[in-house]
Amino acid sequence: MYRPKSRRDSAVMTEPVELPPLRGDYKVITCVMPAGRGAAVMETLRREQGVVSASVHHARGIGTHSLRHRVYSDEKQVLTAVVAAEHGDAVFELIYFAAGINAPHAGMVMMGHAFRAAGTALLPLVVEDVQ
Amino acid sequence: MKQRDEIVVLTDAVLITCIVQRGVADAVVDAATEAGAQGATIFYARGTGVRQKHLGVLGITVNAEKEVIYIVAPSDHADHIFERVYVAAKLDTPGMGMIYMALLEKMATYVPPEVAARFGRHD
Repeated sequence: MYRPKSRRDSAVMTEPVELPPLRGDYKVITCVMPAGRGAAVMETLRREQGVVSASVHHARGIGTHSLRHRVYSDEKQVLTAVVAAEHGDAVFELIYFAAGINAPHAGMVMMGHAFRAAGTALLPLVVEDVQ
Repeated sequence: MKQRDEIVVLTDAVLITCIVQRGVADAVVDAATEAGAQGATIFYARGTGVRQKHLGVLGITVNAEKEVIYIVAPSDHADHIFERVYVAAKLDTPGMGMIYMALLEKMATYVPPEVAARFGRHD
């Protein structure tokens, strides 16, 4: 049984906070792309799908196909987006083309699933942005 | 003719994620590539945990600076890579890090047209 340890805890308990559902269906889409494209892909996601539940960080990528890639690592960016399952395929496709994955040595995009998430609501699309 | 909006989607892929202390990632990537992995993505992170509380003296030796390694592998090959990485990173020792793998629903990358043609279309 939960017993509040302080007045602050008890105050938190009494405030009506709506928690996300215990179980849902979400997709986690991860894209490894060349460094420098992350911000543009994030902006495309927001403009075309209203997705803001994404983040980008830097990484280095190591390949095995050539000696150069084994010795030197490429600068990469990794984008992770979490969206409701029904939008998964559309966002996957959008990221694939926005990040230019359809070219050699560009990286990859992958999709897994999550069963609880929050903050994944899509922003309403702005007409000027779409035009 | 290849269409602009055509994506070759690969299934039966697994994402292996390995979190190790800073400086260990190169050994992990070497082990993974020797085991057949096609590549890896590495980034830095800072790991906080219960190391000081539960590892005793060992906790001092654990570096909070971490390296996270992503390896995407075919599902029939993933267990082999997983085990080789586990051994190379000495993950049987407390505080050395952790590794997990998760099934990917699908993944896509550049597939040369001649390779895609060899496997045929699956509409």
